[in-house]
Amino acid sequence: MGGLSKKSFLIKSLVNDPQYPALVVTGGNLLFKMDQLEPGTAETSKIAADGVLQANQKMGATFVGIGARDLAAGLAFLRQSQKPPAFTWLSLNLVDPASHQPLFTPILHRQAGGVKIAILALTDHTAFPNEPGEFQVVDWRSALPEALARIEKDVACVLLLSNYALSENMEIARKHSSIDLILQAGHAIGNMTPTVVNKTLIAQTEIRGKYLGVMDIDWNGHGKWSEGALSPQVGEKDQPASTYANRFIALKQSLVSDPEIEALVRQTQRSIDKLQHGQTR
Amino acid sequence: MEKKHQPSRPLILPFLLMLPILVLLAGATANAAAFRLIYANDNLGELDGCG
Repeated sequence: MGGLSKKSFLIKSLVNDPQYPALVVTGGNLLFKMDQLEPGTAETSKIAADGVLQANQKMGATFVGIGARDLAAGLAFLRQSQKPPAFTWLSLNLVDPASHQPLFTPILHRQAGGVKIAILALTDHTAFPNEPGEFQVVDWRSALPEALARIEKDVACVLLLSNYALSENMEIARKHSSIDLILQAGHAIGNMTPTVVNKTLIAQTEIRGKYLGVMDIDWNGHGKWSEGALSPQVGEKDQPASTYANRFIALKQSLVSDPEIEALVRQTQRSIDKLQHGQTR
Repeated sequence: MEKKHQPSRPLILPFLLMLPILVLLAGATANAAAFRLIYANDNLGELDGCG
C-alpha cells in the first residue's frame, strides 16, 4: 500500500521535533488529475478525492490552497468539506461572478514557533475560459495588492500558496516584496530547490504524492534569506538573514506505513472497486 | 628519549580566537524563531503514489 500511509507516518515523526514546531502545508491540485472529470470516471474520481482529503486531514492538513484541478467536480464538492477552523479551502481570487467576493477563505492566520504567519492562496486564472459560470477566477494582479496591504502590518511572515507557473510567481515575487514564501502547485517541474527571487523564497515538490518537502526555518524577520546555518553579518548593523534548510523526502515503499491511513485507503479502494463492478454488470 | 611537554597556551589560542564568532552565532540563534514547513503539492487524487 502506497504513499499516503507512508506520508502520514513521516509527518507524524516530523511534527514531534521540539526544536522546530511544524506547520503542515498542502498546495493545490490535491484532489483530481484533470481540470474536468471524464463522464465514465466521475464517481470513482470523487470517491478517491474524498479518501485523499480525509487522509490528509488525519495527517494534520488544516488548510489547502485551491488549484484549478480541485474545481473539477464543481464548487459544491469543495464546499461540503469547508469547515473552518478545522479545515479550510483557501483562494484569494476564486470569486462570485456577481459580487466579486471570494467564495472560500481568502486569508488564513496561523502561528508556528511563535511566528505569526498569514497564508494566502491563488488559483491560476489562465486555466479557465472567460465564460459565465458558477465562479470566476480573477487575475492575481487584481486580487493580490489589496489583500497584502490588509495584512502586511499585522503579521511577521507571509506565505503564498500559488497555482501559477514559476514565471508568474517570479513576477509576483518581484512586484510584492512583502511575500516571504511561495509554495507552488499546478505546473509539474519536479522537486524545485528553493530559489530566492527578490525577498521571496519559492519552492515546490514533485507531483502525485511521491515526495514530501521539509523546510526548517530560523526566522529573523522579513527581508533577506540565506541557505544553511545562521549567518550573522559580522561587522554590519543589518538585521541577520532568515535561514532555511530544505530537503525532499521520497515516499519509498520501504518506509513504515500509518495503519490508520492504510485502512482508510483500503476502504476507499474497496468503494471504488464496488462501484466499478456494479457498473460492469 | 624523554618527551618534552608542549606548552598548553597554543591549544587554548584557537578557542580564544573563535570565541567572538561563537558569541555572534549564539546571539543570532537566540533572536531567531524556528519553525518547520512540511509541504506537498499536486497530489492529483493519488491514493497510492510512491517516490
